Amino acid sequence: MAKNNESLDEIFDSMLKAALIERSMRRSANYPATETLAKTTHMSKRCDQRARRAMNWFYYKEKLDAVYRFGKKCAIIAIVTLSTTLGALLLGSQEVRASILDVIIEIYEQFLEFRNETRDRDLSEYKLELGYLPDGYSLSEEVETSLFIRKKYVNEKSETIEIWAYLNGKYAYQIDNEVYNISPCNINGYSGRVFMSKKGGSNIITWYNGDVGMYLEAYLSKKELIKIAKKIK
Amino acid sequence: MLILIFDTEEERNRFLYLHETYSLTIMNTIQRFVSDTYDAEDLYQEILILHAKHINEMDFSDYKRARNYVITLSSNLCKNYLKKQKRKIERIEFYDDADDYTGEENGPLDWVLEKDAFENLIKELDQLGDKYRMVLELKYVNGFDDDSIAKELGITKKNVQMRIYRGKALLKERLYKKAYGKK
Repeated sequence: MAKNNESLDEIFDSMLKAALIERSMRRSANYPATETLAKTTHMSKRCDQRARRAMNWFYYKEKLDAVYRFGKKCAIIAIVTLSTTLGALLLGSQEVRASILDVIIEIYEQFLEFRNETRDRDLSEYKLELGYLPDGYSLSEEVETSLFIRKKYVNEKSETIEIWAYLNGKYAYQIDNEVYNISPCNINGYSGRVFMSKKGGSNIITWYNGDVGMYLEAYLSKKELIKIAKKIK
Repeated sequence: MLILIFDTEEERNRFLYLHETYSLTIMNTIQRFVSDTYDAEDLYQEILILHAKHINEMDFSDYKRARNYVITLSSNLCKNYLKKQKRKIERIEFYDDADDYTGEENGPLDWVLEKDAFENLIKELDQLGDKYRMVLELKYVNGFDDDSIAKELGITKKNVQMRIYRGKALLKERLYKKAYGKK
């Protein structure tokens, strides 16, 4: 039924268009011929000149618009091409990619959350031991749970070295992005991150050694931290 | 594109051709509505510019069609101009044959079989108010889209669509009434 109505509407529209054209053609047919018009209709010279000027003006305006539209298209194409080429060239460089990653990490938010996944392991399989310990430090605390192992060393100045090994499942930690300078590091072939405090606080290294997630925090230099991390058994 | 930009002479000739060929027709149409010479000349400039804007929609190869296009557009713009100026139409178009319409009521079968439907539709168009006929003519005779009609008549696009809808509805209602003798 609806289709039928649509068809009727279309037929009516066609008829209406034809009727409007026919009506206007009949009207036009009643108009005087051009020769008669020349005798009966007067157009002043002033009006004629104004019309010619208007047509010239209109012609130049159209041309200017066309040039403007063409220029705009060209500019857009040039900008897109340049941006794409520049982007492709820049992304080909490792330094740029690393910088972009740093920038993204830095601007994303103040606190960075690092999510890691470790394999499910039996806690008894894993023993956490430091192969290198700076002078003056001794073990002050040791905690072993089903989720992690934590060891804490202290020296005479009450400066601490804390080491965490996350054994089971998923874990995450947040680090204040505005307090630390972040840089990549390599621990025995595994990539990690060094967080150097800007305010004289403790420094941190995190990495994943293929089995467990590691977290080392101490009031030591980057070099010393990496040395400790590399010698963890 | 560059060819289009610098394709000058032929394009310019088209605009001048429009003025040289149809100036008297446009002026004659204007003088049917506006008696003041200065007003008529001002209106002529406006109408000529509008024709120039829509020059690509005109078929110059067919003189009759092009002339019809010019007359229809010009008379509608004159009516609109007068409406805007809040003046009454000073002269009645001499070709207005609305009085010929007798309003005879034929049965629906005769109405269709006697091929009167088309003629009746033309007569109903004469009876239709200018408000509706103008938008219908600009749309179907001049090929303007709704946006262009709205711009030239100084009304909103929604208004244009509403006038087209109501104009058609009025015509249908009157034709139906004519065919069946009731609403």
